[in-house]
Amino acid sequence: MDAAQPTSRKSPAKDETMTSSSTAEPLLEVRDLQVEFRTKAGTAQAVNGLNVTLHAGETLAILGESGSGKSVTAQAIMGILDMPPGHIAGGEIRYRGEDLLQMPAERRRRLRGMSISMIFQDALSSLNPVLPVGWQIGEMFRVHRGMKRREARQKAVEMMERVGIPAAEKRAGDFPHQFSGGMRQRIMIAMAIALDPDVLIADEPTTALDVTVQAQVMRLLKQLQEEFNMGLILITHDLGVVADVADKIAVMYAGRVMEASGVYSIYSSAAHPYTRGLLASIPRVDGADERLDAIPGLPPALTDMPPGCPFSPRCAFATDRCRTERPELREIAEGHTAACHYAEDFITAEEDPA
Amino acid sequence: MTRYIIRRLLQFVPVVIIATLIVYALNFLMPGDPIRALAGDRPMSEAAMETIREEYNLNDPFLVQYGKYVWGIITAGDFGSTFSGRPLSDIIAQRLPTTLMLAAVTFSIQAVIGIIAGILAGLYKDRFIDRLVQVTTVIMVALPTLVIGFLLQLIFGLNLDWFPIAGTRDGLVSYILPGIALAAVSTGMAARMVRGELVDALQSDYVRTATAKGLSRQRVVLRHGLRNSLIPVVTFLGADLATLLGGTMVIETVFNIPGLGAMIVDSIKGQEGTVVVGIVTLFVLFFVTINLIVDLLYALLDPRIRYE
Repeated sequence: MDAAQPTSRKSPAKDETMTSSSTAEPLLEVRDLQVEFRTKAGTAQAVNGLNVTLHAGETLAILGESGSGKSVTAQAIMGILDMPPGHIAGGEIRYRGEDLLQMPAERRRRLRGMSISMIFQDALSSLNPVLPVGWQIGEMFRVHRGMKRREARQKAVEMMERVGIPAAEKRAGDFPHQFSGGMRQRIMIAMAIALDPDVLIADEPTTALDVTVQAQVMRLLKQLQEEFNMGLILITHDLGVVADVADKIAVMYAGRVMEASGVYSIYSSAAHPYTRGLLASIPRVDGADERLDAIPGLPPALTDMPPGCPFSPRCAFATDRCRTERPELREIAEGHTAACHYAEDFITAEEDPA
Repeated sequence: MTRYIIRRLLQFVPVVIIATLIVYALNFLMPGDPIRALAGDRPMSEAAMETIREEYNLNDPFLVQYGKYVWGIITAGDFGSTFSGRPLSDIIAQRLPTTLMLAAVTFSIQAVIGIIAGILAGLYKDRFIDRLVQVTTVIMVALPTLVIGFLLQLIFGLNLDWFPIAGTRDGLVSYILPGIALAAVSTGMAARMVRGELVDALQSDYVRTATAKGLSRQRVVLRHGLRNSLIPVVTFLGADLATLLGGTMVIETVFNIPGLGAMIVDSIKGQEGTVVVGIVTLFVLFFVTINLIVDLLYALLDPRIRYE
């Protein structure tokens, strides 16, 4: 994963920024992150030794089913995990080389919103229902930049214009419920990028939106990311969204990364049976198959992890080795890692169809 | 908004008519002869009693009595008088300040103690202070007002001699025990409500967003958590201020406070319908007005609610 070079190079300009950034120090480096939830039913291991790296201007998609630990990862990076019951059992989260987990709370708080910020899935419940949106965006400038009320409001209106909210000046005094879903998500985005953060984490930013609006919001995110040269972590279960915007992908399952690589290698040569299962479950417009291929079964309970590969109970190719020996995430090609004992076999099988 | 207020004000008319009619009817249906009760053991001539009955329209059928009563209010502003001849307006002018004072003391206790206890319990959920508030409030809610009144009199009045037991001669101090007794149930309920709302708010998505914005814990709790959790509490306390007047009937009797509540109790005993209806009407008006204010306040505090 670390060595993964951004594979999406659409324009010479972008190519340049990406090359410079990827040789530079990474913005964000998560090393062996372990998050547990201590519940009455036992300790749930939500994230088990996660490794990801993010550079400026790069989009990392974290893909996974519900309960795979992707949102928990985001919250751990943001420092907004509910603790207790949440608990970071180990690992490092380095922002520009400095471990966020070792940092004094006050310093970490200042980084939140200013250097690392986050967009949530449901903008209606994530915005304060009784405060005007302009006030909520302006709060970023008042708290972090010490601006006066009037000045902050002016900046808030500018941010609203920037994310494409019509008649921003007039609407700054409106409340969240007076906006449409897409507009509300734009307000969340305006709030998150208000202070020009280095890292933006978007936790399923389009899941709650209409399909037509989804594309608009994704386009806006992508455009703002390029403009501000932000590192974007996109958490999603939507493979369609990923293909459009991501540079690299980490596929999570049961709190682990199962496979990680540049976006094209995932689609062209997925090495992990789980990734393959996900790809096969995308509906096709050409309708070659009538039935969708769903992955049978359910993810394992986080309180009761199988000893071997966590995917083995659902994997059609699982062997005895899979059920007893847990495969480590290892490099199987340049910039392509997978946690499967037989990853190479799957890729080879793909390359020369017998 | 204005139209809404006018409509609500117009609703006062039927509410007051129905309320007075019911109270008047209940009073009419009470067994016994009020005039004979008034006379007590003293001998009174049948003729004298008949004169009084005529004067207070007691011989008329119910609806005629009620009609004459309402007619008197409309034409002459005459709310009637007691059997001893004192005009009701006189009694209200004299006793209203006492009851309002009791209500003010009670309401302050409810609002201040209830909200502070609720906030502490909510902020320190599952900790010692939370358990303490939970247990105390259960007791407060469960004990009847009457019992709390007697207990306070016994402990803080009789045994410790900190507060006067009865009457209002000592000014504000005399209202403290009755105020606490009357406030107990609602203080407990308010505290539990604030706690619940605050706990919910602190787990809400928008508070998570506020944390993610890098705001200080204090700002997250005060500006984003508490602001929202107090909205329903304001409604509760407002509505409760209105029902509190009913409670004054018990507490003013227990603590011998010469207010309107005690007056109602005495008038019911003496079957003085005019007085009962007059004071109850006042309470009803107070009740509907407070409720209107609470509804308007609610819209002011929560922008999602708008009255067209």
